[in-house]
Amino acid sequence: MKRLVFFAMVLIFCVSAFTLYAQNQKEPQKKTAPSGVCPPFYLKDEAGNIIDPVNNVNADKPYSPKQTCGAKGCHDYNKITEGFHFTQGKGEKPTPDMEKRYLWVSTPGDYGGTWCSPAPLYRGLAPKKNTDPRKIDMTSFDYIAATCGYCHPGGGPLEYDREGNRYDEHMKKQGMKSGEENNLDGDYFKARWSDTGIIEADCLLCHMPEYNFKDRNKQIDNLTFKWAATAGSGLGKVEGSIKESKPVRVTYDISKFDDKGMISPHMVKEPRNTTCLHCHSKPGWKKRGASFSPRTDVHIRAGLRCVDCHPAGNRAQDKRIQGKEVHQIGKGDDPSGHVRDDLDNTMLDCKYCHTNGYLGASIAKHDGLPPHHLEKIACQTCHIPWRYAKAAQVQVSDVFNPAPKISPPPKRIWTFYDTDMNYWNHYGELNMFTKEDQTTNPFRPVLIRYKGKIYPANRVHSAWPGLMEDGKSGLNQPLMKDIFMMWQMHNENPSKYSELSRIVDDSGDGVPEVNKPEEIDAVINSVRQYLTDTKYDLTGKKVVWILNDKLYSSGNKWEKLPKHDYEASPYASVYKYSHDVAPAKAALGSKGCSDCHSKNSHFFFAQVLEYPFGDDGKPITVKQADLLGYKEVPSGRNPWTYWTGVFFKYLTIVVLFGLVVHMILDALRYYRKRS
Amino acid sequence: MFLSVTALVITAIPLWCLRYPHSRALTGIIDFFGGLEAIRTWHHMAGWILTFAFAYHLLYVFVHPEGRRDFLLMMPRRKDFQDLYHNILYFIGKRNEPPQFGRFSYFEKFDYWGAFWGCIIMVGTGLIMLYPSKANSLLSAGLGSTIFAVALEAHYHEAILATLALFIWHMFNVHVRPEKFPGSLVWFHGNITEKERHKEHPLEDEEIDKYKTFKEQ
Repeated sequence: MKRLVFFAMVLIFCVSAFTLYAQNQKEPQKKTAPSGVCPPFYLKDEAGNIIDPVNNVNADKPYSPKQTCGAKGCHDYNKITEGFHFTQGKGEKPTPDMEKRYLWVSTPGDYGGTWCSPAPLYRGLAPKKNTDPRKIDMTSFDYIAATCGYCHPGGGPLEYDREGNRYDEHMKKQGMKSGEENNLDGDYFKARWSDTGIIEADCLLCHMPEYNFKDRNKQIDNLTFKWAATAGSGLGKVEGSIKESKPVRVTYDISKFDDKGMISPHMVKEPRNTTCLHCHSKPGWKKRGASFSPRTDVHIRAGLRCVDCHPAGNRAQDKRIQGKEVHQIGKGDDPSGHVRDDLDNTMLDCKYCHTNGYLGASIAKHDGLPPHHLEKIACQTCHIPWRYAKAAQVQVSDVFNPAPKISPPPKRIWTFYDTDMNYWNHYGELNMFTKEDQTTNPFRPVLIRYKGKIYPANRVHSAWPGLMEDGKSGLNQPLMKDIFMMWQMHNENPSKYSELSRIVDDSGDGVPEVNKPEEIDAVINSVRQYLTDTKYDLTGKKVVWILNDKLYSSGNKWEKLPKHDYEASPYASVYKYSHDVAPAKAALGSKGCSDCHSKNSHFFFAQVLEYPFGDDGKPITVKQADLLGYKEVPSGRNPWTYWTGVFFKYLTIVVLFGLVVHMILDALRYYRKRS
Repeated sequence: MFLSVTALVITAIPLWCLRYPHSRALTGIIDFFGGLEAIRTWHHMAGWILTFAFAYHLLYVFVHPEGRRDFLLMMPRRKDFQDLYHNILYFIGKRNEPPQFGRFSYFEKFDYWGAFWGCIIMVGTGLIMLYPSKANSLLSAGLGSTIFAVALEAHYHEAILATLALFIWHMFNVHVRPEKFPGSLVWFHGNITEKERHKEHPLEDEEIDKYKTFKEQ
């Protein structure tokens, strides 16, 4: 017995000792630094050296966001700049549709793609390799300088060339000369990277609410690219100009540095609406008639922020964009926006918030609404019944726009018509107004069927001179500046390209438009003549004129171009509306079913634009229901519905056939018997 | 039932127009009837009357002895098919006399079961369309729109079948048929004359006579 007790005690001792040992062997908890707010830090220059203006160390150098924010142990600059806001399509292949249509497109994004213009003509990114300087339009350098850099936050094509070399370093390494032809390389032709430096991804542009875009963009105008981040952040004042060959000097604002020469600026994790709108407001106005204001948008009125629906990083819900430092911002799916299509619909959609009440969203009930409405009609269709600011429904690039305050002058080859087909001096308004001054111009959106659902949208219509190339599918565009110069020369001396004088106003709105055969011929002949005169090689090329999906090789000869049903033209954008959402009480259906199901409803019976100009210069329209492809309520697509229909149809035929035969025989017998 | 079905057929016309929402003329009919909400309200009211009429009938069938008896007599039998065959031969002159029917002839049974089936389909699919979310939770969660679409399709086609059967077959048999014109009021008061019974339901007549004789003995 004593032996048994002894062994039991030894066993208990061993187990206890082992447990204590095992507990002590647990991994010590890793100490993590408090996160969420950056501690005071030093600015660093491009070489990674500390900039300390308080102690006059490297105080003459502009700071480098890459070296400062992307310093070891801080942020992953490379991962961050994979975001599509930085790449702007660089490195992506165009979509199959784009490859078939556009000969000038090399990526699906603004950089190398269809630019941010609703329709041609616009500046096209020059190919990397070129043989004829006459045909080089916009180089990567011009891409920044031609005001595209105003919005694009740096990194991507503003930092590296198409082969992944940093522009300024590569230029020096290859012995390229600033402002020279540099082997007609589309990234370096007449570029001045070695002087201007490059534009790194500028973190503070989004993360500093007080960021000064005006000062930053001034550096783009002055070609002082690498000083842009310093000026925009307000940490230093930049004087001088590469463009004007004035020495560039930075003077840091010492008051923003502590005694050690470190800074702790006001930075936020989630950009404010004003930051997003700095870039998205103007294009949103032109393309969609967007206002993004509490007056027009129930979400902004409720205090929501852009990032609430368009989250990124750890706040993103969608696994495709979720993760630390991931700067892919949740996005929707625009018919004409093809940058990172694989990330379409990564934002929080209406359903997400309005089914679970996220951020205090009201729960959508839709009582009494047959469910196929929600299946076939996008939320936006009913909840954006009206738009309140003009949008460019038509952009033509074949006549000269003499209206006031259009700047820079080449933009005069664009003439816009609003959604009521009235002439619209959009750039004049942009020159005079901010978005707060948008004139009130209510209109009903056109409805399109896109990916199986009905959406409100602006399907842009276009007319432009183009180039057909032998053996190639799709079209090319002449250089925007050529068409501008052609008109400019004609305006100064009407005997030059005199056929252009034939183009007159037929619609009576005071604005000439190309619509009659002789006017079409005038455009085609004049463009051909101008290009020939200016040594543009037209071998294997033919000048044509395109109106929406009609390709005119002469005034009387045209062929149809393939396009999607939701498009007005294969060469003009389609912009869905998702912002400026009306409250439920103002949505379609709030006054009952007759909002749509009545003979005067806009939903089915509105006349929507098919071609901007007919023979009389007046618009040609089509019934909205026809555009949506309505033949009957599409209920046969679901196999269950289809077979239910088939069953009842055959049941009806068989039963009625039997009954009618029975009746006829019965009647015949009766009369036969009587006779 | 007469009132509800008549109201349902009339109010179904503009609702049928809804199937072609892109037609201005057909949408105009909806407007003429006072708009979709008004039409729906009337249609739903008529539908509820039909539902209660059908529910009353079921109650009558289950609870009342005569209801049970008639329901059982309504069941299709081999004789009904024999009568149909006989009747067709009679129609085409191969027989000299029509078949002799009992309390319910085969075409009356067809009428009854047509209406019975019609009520089940129309009331069932109507309720699904009236309460789609409840139907979704009760029937099969997640199939809401499919169930609704199937119900809509069945309701639409069954309505056409029922209306055509009503206005062609039923109308012929009880009103237009030369021997019946302009129709009897049996649907209203539920009574039939002995003469009519003798002529149209001789077997029942015979049965009643036998029963009377048996009772007298």
